[in-house]
Amino acid sequence: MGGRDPRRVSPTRLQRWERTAEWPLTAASLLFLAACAWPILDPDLARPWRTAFDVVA
Amino acid sequence: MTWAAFAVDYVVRLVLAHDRGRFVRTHLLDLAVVVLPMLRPLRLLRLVTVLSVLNRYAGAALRGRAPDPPQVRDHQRAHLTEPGKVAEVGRMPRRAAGQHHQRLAAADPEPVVVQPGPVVGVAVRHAATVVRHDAQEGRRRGSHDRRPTHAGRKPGAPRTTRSGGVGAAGFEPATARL
Repeated sequence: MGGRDPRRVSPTRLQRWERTAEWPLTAASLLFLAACAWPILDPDLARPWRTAFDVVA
Repeated sequence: MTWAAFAVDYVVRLVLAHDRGRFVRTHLLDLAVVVLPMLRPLRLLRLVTVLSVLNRYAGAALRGRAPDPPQVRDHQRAHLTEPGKVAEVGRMPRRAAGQHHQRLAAADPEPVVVQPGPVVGVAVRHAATVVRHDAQEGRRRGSHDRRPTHAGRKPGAPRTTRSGGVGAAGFEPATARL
């Protein structure tokens, strides 16, 4: 970001996207954490649930 | 599913980047997280930023300070009764507000030991109000309760309605005894 080449990234569009995507991706990672952890914490989980969590993760 | 979200994010960023080769080279970890299944847990790194934000706020609250611009916030709290002053301090540059606050703190005869954060402060104040209100209400209700019995009581009649008293003789409805 030193400003050697201002055309290196398009600051407006890329940064706008990153700002927009920040919270959805955070939510996605939380979802991922839950989907990963649940089958481990509950080993007697029924098969369909296990598949569902696999799909989510 | 979450993989798709991260993949879409990566692709969009790649498309938006001016120099794509450079983007790929500087964002190798992002690519690895999307492409290599064994690195999927690295997605949780995204939560680190959230944790740091939470940590900052929680730490500030536990230390009893307002989170970011503490001087201005504390100052505003100190001058809540003077709207003109609040506006004036809000317009001050941050350092000036801080100095002003320090002067204020130095002039304050009572050292403030614990300054709860805004939420805690409001809760405590609210609780205090409720307690005070209840006390007043109780006092008022007590006097209300007493007055009719005094007025309705014949001089010399027993005040309480125990069995064998006035109530038990059938002059008063049963609920009056409660």
